[in-house]
Amino acid sequence: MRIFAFLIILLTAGQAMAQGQLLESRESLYNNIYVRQSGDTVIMQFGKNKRYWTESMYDTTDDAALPVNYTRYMTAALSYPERVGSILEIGLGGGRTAAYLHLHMPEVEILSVELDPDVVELAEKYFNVKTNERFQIETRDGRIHLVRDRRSHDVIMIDAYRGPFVPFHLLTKEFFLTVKRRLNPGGIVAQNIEPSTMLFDAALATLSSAFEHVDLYPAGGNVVAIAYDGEALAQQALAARAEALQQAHAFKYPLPILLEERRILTKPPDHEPLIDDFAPVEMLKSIERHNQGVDHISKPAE
Amino acid sequence: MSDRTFRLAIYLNGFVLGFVLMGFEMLGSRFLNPYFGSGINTWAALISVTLFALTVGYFIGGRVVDRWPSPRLLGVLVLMAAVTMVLIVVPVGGLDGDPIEWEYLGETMMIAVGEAVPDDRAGVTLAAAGLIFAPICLIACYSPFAVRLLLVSTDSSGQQVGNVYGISTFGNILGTLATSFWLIPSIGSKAITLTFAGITVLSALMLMLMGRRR
Repeated sequence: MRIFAFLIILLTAGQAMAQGQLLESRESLYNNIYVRQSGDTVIMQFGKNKRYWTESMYDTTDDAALPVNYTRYMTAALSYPERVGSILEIGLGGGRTAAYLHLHMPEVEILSVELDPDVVELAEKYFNVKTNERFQIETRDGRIHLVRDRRSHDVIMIDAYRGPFVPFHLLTKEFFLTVKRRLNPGGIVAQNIEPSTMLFDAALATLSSAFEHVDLYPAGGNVVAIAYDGEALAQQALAARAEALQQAHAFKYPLPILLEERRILTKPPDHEPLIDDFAPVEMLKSIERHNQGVDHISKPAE
Repeated sequence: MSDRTFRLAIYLNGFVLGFVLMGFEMLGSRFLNPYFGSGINTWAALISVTLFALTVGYFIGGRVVDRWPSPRLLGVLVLMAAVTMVLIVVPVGGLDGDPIEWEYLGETMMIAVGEAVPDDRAGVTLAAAGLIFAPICLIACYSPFAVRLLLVSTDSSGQQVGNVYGISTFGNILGTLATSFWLIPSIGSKAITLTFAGITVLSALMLMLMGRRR
């Protein structure tokens, strides 16, 4: 039965229509990648047989725009650490989130780790991603990078999807403990989670098992989770940091406004955390269900 | 032991060990993924190491059975395969003083290989060899052993050889599917390893208890 449900979901889940003019398609080591242009927007999609998952969008008229809603909320993470000197991104996609951060904070060290060399090439070719000494891209598996590269960061953003799936080794408690070892004191992790399946509960339970606090930002279809350790951050303190950063960097999507969507996870979902030994993410992804996590969130006290 | 029972026992064990062999290869990916990623490199390493282990196992098994055509010796080889599986999940300590799960010997090996070998492709191939080469090589000895133990005349040797390969390959298929679709989503990787080792021990005991055919 489960196998059957899995097949059905593969046929129906999360597809986007093919739109616009095809600029380039590639069969890479890991994905079938399509780059299309629709009006002024360039879109990167992964997919096959007319089922496409949008990975990234670029507004060619505005280098500072983030057309994909949830990516704006990924930047809400900037308000959490005491200082932002170094950002690690796992999962480049079209590279627009990293490019946005670099555009607004050119003095910050940004490193993006992407598994697929063709994704990197296409991001540079069509999404105006230009690396330099402060904005670097490394082509490697995200977890291998975290294990081998001992540099630490103030913010680690995780957005590594392959079509509809997150590889299981990027979603276990051991993975998040490795992430934690690469965070500076006061550092935080932000993760994009697709919320419609059991995987959402499992991901929140796993994040909560590795970090003391988890905040959620519902962001038009996806949910951005931000996790951190130490004292719980009061809304006022975060708002003050967001305001100061906004003054200094003039973000197109103002941090104080993004912060208004903050929800605090008051109780982790009733689900076993995923561990390296047992993480059936493909099956969880196929089980659509009401998500408990959303029952246990509250707006922060003003 | 009657001729018919003897043959059936050889086929049954061929099926069971075929199941375990491919199931173990699929399971290998779950061990490797956290340390070497889940991309095509990992699969290339697993598949090539499996085929290399079969290559070596067929050569060795063929030579050994010509010298000592004994089901009991085959049972000993199969028992050794089970031991090498259990070795992978032997606990050796906690992870950074924060043991969510005990660190196991296979994990220690993969961490050491990852640190010693800078090239990810060489690393994943070596680590795959460390995990699955020994048990698969030992199980691969089964086919040439089975053929030699079954053959009494050249009249039906083609059919006997065909049966051994057909039945063990059918076990391979079910092992691949059952492990990926049912076992991995149901129980943990270490529990599956111990399950496979347990099945392999039963097979080894059966082979060791089999007398010579009459």
